[in-house]
Amino acid sequence: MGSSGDGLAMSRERFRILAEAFGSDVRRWPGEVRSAAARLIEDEPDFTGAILAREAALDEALDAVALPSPSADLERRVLASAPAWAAPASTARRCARSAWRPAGGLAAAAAAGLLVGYFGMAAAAPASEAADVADLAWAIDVGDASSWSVE
Amino acid sequence: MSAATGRTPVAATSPVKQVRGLSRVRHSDPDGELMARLARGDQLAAAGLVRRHLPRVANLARRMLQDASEAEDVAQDVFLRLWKVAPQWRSGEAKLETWLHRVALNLCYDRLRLRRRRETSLDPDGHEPIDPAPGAAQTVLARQRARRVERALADLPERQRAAIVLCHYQDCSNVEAAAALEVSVDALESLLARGRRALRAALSQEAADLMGDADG
Repeated sequence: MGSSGDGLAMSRERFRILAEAFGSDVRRWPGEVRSAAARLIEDEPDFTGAILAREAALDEALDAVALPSPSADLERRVLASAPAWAAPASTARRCARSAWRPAGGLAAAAAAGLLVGYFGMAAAAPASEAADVADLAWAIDVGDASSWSVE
Repeated sequence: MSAATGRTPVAATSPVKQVRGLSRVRHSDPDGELMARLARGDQLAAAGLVRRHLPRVANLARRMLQDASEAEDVAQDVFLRLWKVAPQWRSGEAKLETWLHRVALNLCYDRLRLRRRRETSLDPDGHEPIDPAPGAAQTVLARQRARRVERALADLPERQRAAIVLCHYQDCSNVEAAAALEVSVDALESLLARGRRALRAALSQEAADLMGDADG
């Protein structure tokens, strides 16, 4: 599947393929092909116009499905789920690291009371969550402490 | 086994893997500063991220699942996972929105799989319709049309539906959508084209059926 860069002419076939994928609004097309598409539209208005009109009908149909904004209650619940990290990031990371290590680390972190949120989440989460917790442990174990920093 | 680390790669749905996978390409991420503040324990940063991304995450899930309650559960779950990975987030190495989209899609796929397993997959007449925005002046015909489009979208294979939702409704670029779907841009193009072709065929057929009914 080739692409037409801005400096190249776009074939009719490529124009049709892109329209079928990205729809009638060329602004939604990949950035690198927009100029070439615009030139073809200018050069061949009948051909390109027929293709774009067909795709515009589908775009319009898709736009008919509007969504309400998420409820304020959802926003409240999501915010309430944010961990209460009162401690500076370095402390939080230190505690998190110990928490994912075997028993000793878990006990220490639990005693510190800083990972209650994590435990609650893990207990309430679906089965796939367990894999994420394991992955998190893996990531922290293999990572150097400095690699966690958000520069 | 990963040749680089000698470790077994993590599961496909893992946020950690997603952070690490996306980290191969450096991104300019407008959320980098908020993520850095979140990692330092800044609650206002959490609120900023929720305000900025929750509507889009919730909409993505709703369009994929066509069920408001399940979509809210997915949105909540996405943010729970974000809170967990925040301390390890490396600003500039992964674009947060792409990560959120990817996690949301994977959670949606899980739920869709579960539905199929329970043999309660979308019943064209039984699934919950997406309500129009409150206050929107929609005619009965417009509502019916929206229902038809929803049904046609629901009947698409998951990945084709996801490609259309990302590119059409979420306004993702082809590169962003491909990253969220974990496919190449060429594969994304193919998913989009097949999905739109199937939608057009379904909607044309339905229109023809309706006209046939009206004639009969």
